[in-house]
Amino acid sequence: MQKDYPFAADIKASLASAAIRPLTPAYQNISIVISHSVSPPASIKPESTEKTMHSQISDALNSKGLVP
Amino acid sequence: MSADTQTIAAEPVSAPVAKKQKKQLSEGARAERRLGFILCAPAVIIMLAVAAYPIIYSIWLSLQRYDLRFPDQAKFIGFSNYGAVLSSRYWWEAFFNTVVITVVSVVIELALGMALALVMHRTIWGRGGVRTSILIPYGIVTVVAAYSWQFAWTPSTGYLSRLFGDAAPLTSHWQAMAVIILAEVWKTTPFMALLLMAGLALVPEDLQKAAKVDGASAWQRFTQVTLPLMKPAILVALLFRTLDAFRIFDNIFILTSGGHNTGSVSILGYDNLFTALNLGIGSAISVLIFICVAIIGFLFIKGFGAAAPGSEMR
Repeated sequence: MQKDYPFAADIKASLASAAIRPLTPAYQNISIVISHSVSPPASIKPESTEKTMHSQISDALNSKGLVP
Repeated sequence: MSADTQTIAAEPVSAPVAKKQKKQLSEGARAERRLGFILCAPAVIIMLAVAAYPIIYSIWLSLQRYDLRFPDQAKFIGFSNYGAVLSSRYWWEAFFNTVVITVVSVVIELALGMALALVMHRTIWGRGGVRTSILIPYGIVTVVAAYSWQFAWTPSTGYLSRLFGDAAPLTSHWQAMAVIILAEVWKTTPFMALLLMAGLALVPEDLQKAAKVDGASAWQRFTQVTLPLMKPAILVALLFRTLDAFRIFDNIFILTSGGHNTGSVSILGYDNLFTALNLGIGSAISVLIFICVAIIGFLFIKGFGAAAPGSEMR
């Protein structure tokens, strides 16, 4: 197992911290705006990125947001 | 030439006269006009059904909160959707990309298309073969061509990628834009050349000969005789290509699907309509694209004096 899947330990570790996806009808929008604002990871600025994500998610819930 | 200028000058004078005469139409003329309206009616009704109705419906949708995931909350919200689109960073990024792609590709196409049109016009031997081979890219389905460009630029499968040392141009913004423009130019230059060739046929051979007798060089004959005479054809070709290029969708959709910030406004509209299922925002984007296209057409026809499609070329 370890030989065939050398990354098995990493996958197991990530499963330990797994959470359910956001439960919302606007899942598509929310997942797109989140992945878009945290990519590329080098451009994340914790304070402002969090604010953008917050405003974009609330826009999505009000059918006001655009998806890139 | 002098006859042409006379008719242009005479038009404004004759127009008010025609207006005055409208009331005094004879019985026969009125019957003829009625018959004309009746004969036009079927075509007008079909056009209204297939063109006007969808346009008006999308304008109506764009004024509502109409999200297929919140169907119960659909309501009229005025111009809020337009506010949301126009204040969004994504719209302006897509708009900028579209303008860059449009301007660069149309300029390259005009230069290349003119060269190809001259080649097609001047070939004596094997005319049919030359014209056919030039027109082949235009005959290939855009999506098929876009897939072959995508494979060619993918490392480990593509010959173009290998040629540049396993380059992956579709994974960075400006290189991907260059590939999109290249695919667009390759695809539609023949169309440009075809329209320009029709313009070249308008230039009388006698004028070229007369200029030659006067000692004009080949370049002078091209810029002083050929270009001014085919100006209407050039403007129509530019108008058609600019309108098409502004609505670019299929090439981008296959090559990058709008990744790495290469999306055009049409891609943005598609994503918001069909990925996000937000009919209100998506319709607002579509209407804004429609307005942009209308402005481009207006600028070309009023600003540069291009002949409107369907009207007679002078």
